Amino acid sequence: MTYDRNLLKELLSESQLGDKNSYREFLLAVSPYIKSIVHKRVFNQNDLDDVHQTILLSIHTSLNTYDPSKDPIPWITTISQRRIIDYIRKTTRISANEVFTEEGDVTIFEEPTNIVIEDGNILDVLSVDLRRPIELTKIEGHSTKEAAEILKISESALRTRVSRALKKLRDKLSGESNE
Amino acid sequence: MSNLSENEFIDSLVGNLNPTDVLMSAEKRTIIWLVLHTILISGIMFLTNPYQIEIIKNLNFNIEILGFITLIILSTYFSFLSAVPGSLKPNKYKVIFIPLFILIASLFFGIVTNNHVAELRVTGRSFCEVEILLYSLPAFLHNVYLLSKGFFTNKPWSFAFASLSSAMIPAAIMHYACVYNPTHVLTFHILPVVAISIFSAIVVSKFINRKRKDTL
Repeated sequence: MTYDRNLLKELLSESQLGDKNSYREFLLAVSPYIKSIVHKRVFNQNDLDDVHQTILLSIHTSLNTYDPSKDPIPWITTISQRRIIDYIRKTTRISANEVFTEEGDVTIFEEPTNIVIEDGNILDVLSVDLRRPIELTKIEGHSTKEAAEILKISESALRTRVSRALKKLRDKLSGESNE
Repeated sequence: MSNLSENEFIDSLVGNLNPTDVLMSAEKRTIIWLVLHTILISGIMFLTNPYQIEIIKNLNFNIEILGFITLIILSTYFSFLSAVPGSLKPNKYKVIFIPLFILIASLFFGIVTNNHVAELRVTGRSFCEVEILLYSLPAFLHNVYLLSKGFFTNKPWSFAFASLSSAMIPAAIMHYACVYNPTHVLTFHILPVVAISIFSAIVVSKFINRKRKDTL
């Protein structure tokens, strides 16, 4: 697909002056180009629209950085690439801690401070000592302090049990066993 | 992120459009920033500890001064260019190493050949390295402020250039204002500049985030 750079340049310049019709025309014209970049780098179909809209939003907030005397394509391309890199970094961070399984549709993923457990059948693999801390903190929503008081153990002991439980769950779901 | 269809999303962006103040070109910003901070820094350095600009006939000295000037101009220009998407290709960043290499190579040559002794000033300034870092700070903060109005395409490099250009101005003036001894210059003028540039790139860039206006 070829793009009329002079037309894009003109539309973008007029958009900087506040011309909404030109801006709409510019966004509609440039959208397929952005999608072509996104499709090459983003493989999760569910995220394509989100990344595309993130890029359009970045273009919107960075309109002041476009130099009207220059070719708009490198400007659009760089913003798109930058946002795709941000997306890839974010998804890499999340997926490094994520384990998917078809077993009971359970997903356990760990972010720096949060654990989310959906569908608790998987907890059956844990002993009572390890299961109860997970139920209290991750399913029932108690704070560490509250859960420790309920179980009559120290907070550090609670944290240790939660950590061991998560490791066991992760190993179970990954098909590994340390026993 | 959004439950809007593409057309609805575009409509919302269009509805939110206002006339925008286009960023001044990188060339103009470079000239204005350089002139302003060179005058300020050299003036402050003169007032706090007077110095004299002499014509030096030592070849190494003049090569080094050219190296300083090239580094200052290039790093300032690259820093402002890096805030405009699509203006500065990543490979071009590395051009900055050429004048830096020439500057350091000339100093090493001076150390090895010991050719600096005959006619040049031997008195120095106490805490010249502290002066370099201190006087570069307002220039650096101003540079970062101007950068934040743009779009960070590569934040570590942007901060490295901002830091390098800010610190090289007082370092260049020190070449006249402090003792001319290549070992001293490398250790107390150049090394702090390079160290602070690396520090800015790796550490400072992580802490200073432009508030991303990713909402309508």
